[in-house]
Amino acid sequence: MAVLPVRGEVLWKNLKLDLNYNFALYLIFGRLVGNEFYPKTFTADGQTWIRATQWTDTVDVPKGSTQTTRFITYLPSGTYDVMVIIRKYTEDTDIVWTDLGYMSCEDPSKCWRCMGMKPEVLEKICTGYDGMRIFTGVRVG
Amino acid sequence: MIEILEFSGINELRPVAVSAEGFDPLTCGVGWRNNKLSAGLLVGVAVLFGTLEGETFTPLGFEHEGYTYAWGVVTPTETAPSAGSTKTTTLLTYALNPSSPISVDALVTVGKFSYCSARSFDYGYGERMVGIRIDTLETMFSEIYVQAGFQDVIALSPMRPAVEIQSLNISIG
Repeated sequence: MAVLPVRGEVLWKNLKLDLNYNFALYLIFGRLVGNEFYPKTFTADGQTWIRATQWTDTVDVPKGSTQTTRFITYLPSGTYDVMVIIRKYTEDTDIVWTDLGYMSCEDPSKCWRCMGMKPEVLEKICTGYDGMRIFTGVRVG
Repeated sequence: MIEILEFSGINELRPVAVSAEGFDPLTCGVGWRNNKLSAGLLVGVAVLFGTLEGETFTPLGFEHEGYTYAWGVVTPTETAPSAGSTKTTTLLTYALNPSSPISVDALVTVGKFSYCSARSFDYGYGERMVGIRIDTLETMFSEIYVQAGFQDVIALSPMRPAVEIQSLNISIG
């Protein structure tokens, strides 16, 4: 399925995080049905990947202030419900598919546009997050 | 109110609507006096959170990866001050996230720690302990030097998230 390069930003308010806290922003693209969120998937290298992207950053505003975090990915055109998660950054959630192959922290040349996430990583990031919100009816393309 | 309890006073874990997902840092300070232990003796200090009714303490707990944990924290590496002296032991843990406001009691234990039996759960990737496996609670200490219950040590409300996501915009490019 043809995909489009996509970029955007998330505006969020820091309620409790300390300055310089390392966090990751995740966007998971899917469909919200009732209270259940169903991620969209694709196949690459014989594996199923969830359509998602991540971006790592540090908190650079004090508590009570807002910060903007940008992201980039690829998506087929369509309308999505988007789960946005901000949580502590850990390397064990770096199992993502990018347009240059698997993401590798040791090789920054392979760290580019994230476009997929292993299902087990989604399970991990859905616990212990700092903030989460689902936006519905987000149009792409 | 402070009561000295027997360790056998620990009840079965009470299933409650608390979750290990979402928490706030919590610091516990335990002040204790050494009456007759040898100075420098290695001791364990534990704080369990739950409800205290009479002489029965019921831990609050949660499930994680197939195991049941009592909410609490233990340090096995505290040393006794000189006999007759007091000491404050600081323990770091997390406040669990209840679904409705609750008042929490605590059971504090100082004893000889049994390294082989305690199994703890450290939510923060090695940063601090949040729970102790329920099936190891009664063998965690091979000898209890003192145990005390404290009522209403903390009031918890459903957690406010650390960040509030306000808006999302997305475009081709």
